[in-house]
Amino acid sequence: MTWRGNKATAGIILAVALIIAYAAAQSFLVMAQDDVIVKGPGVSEIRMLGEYFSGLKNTAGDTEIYILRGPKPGGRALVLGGTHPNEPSGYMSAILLIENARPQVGELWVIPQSNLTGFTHNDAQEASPQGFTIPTSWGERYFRYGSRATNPINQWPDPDIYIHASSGQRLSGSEVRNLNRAFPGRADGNLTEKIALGITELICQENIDLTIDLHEASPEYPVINAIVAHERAMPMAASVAMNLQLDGINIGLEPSPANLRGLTHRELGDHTDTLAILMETANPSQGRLRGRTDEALALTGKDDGYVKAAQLGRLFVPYDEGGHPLEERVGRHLTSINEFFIVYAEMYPESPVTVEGIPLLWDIEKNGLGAYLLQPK
Amino acid sequence: MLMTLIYRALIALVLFFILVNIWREKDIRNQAVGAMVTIPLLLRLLMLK
Repeated sequence: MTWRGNKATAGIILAVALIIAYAAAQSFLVMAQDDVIVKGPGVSEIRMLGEYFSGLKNTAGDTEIYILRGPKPGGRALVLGGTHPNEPSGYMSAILLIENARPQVGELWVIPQSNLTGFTHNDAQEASPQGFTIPTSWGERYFRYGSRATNPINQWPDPDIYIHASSGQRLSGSEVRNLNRAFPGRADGNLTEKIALGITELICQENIDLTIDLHEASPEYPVINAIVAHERAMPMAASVAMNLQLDGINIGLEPSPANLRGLTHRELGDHTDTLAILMETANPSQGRLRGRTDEALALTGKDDGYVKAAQLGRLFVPYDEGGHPLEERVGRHLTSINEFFIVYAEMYPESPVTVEGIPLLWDIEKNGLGAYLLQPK
Repeated sequence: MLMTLIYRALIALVLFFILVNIWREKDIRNQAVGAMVTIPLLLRLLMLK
């Protein structure tokens, strides 16, 4: 068989390569399309994070802040979703707050996609889905499933070692794009540090009383189904944990480690006056023991490998064939947030935050997530 | 920003040389290999991935 090539074969082969590149580009560009977030009845105003730190304006890191004001003055609470865009219960909880919550006293500030650039790509070699679809009574809503870190298109190259600016803590190089290792942020730092600074500035300039950062972790990670609290927030978090236990929601309470730097619960508590909280739910699609990683795993949390791991006693959460569906994970976050508002109002009656309309765990498990997603106009 | 521009210029240069080689190559297998290399370079040049 002859393999003789000429300019005609070169042209044909390059045309095929161009078609493949075009198809690949279309797939990657899907991740660049913004998620639809509908303004709920409680939303008074939408601002951009760049208003609090000008270095973020016109960058891929500038992201929306939804402000929900109650009719009566009170305290101010901030909820962060999407600090890690591959942890869907965090940003879906934030979106459900935007579309359903109605503050009666005080203000609720929500950043649903804290690391917006992380939503524009997937983690390499993780085979993650690009997104997932939630059915509703009127149709479907699609949401992206992003990466844990900032898109390297927007911030590169990674150093060999990431040195946290204010503490000197040394981490692996890729952590330089992890927003939850970048706090309190730096004005002359990289994009991730600028996003962190924008959030820190927002908390300082707006006198945010309570900050709750929403996350997920793999079932084999020790800090799971848990509240992590800065020491100033620990009395409040302890009351919340006890109340949730009484409601039948098994949740742990962890002190924010003093020597683990760059995280919201440590740096926002140290560098601002806010009461800093982080919460985790169990997401098998992030874990090392998972099998096929697809939209179904992100939505249902069902995985045979984790059932086996639970039988061997290797997990930090109960796990059976029922998995940990997104409804349960979002419901846990929202029920915990609601409990934080109740306890905060009891402990700080001079600046309460009272919010109605938050879908709770039992509501979401009964009605599904779709029942609380509004139809885009 | 300057570093990104230099990076993209280098990618464009490498891509150009590969295209020239594919055009001059007499073995169809080597042409195919060159074409495969152009795909990620093109996506990176356009900053799509």
